[in-house]
Amino acid sequence: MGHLAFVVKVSYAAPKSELFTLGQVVALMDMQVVETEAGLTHIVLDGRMDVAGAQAVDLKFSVLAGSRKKIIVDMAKVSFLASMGLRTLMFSAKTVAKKGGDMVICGADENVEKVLRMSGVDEVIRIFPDFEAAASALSA
Amino acid sequence: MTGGVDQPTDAITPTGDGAQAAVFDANLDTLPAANLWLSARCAALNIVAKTAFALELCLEEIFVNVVIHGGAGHVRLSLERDQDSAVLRIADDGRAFDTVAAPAQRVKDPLDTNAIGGLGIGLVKQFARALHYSREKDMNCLTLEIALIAP
Repeated sequence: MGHLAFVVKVSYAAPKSELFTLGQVVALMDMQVVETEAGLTHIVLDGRMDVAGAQAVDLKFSVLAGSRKKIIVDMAKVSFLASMGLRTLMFSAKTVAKKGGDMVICGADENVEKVLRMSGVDEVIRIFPDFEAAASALSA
Repeated sequence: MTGGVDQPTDAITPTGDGAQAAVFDANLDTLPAANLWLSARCAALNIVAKTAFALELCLEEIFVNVVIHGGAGHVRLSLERDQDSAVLRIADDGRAFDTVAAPAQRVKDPLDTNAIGGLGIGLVKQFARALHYSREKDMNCLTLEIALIAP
């Protein structure tokens, strides 16, 4: 990864009642944004892209999609993805594509990738196994 | 949240699916609690990660639909398992809505965000091996059968 220009961290301030740690249910969503020297915007998501998670990052996603042309969404730390999360990804990808840019996804685990493929999202947003493969494709 | 295990309310009646059921207020604030209940039930029934993920996804999609479109007051959940499947029952007292008959969307056109609205039902229909809907006593009763997936 290239030079770290700046990092934006968005944390969903969940009410205490939602801060369960039993099982996989943790209502937190972090989003870090790294600008690389190669001109790529690397968005690292960490948490659950459920209703609360999607709401937590939706606005920041919209801002980035409206102002960046090459975006890699890193989902390696995303443990859950549902249709509200797909909605956020799709709207952002559409915004980027309208400007002639490209948004891709990398690092999704088996469950998350299954959701991307079953929904057909993988047919309109390219998926790569890791950041390096995604960066290589966007830099080509 | 209205209650936890074994707390049926007057607004939503038991559906004959055993004692291990829970009733939740139908709003998005209670969805994390419903997920937590599901996670605990999965652990109790030794339902492992991939199947638990499928169950959680189906619960999220149906619960959100019930809250946003159904106008329900309560949602009742139960989860059982047999040899090769997990059976999740979701009952709500909202407007009649047959999930089985509802169209399942899949993204077809490049970045056609108009199709996004029905993605959730499409995912449920793909993750569930079988779906059954009935309208009983002014309640939507949805039964989802999900294959047990080896870890």
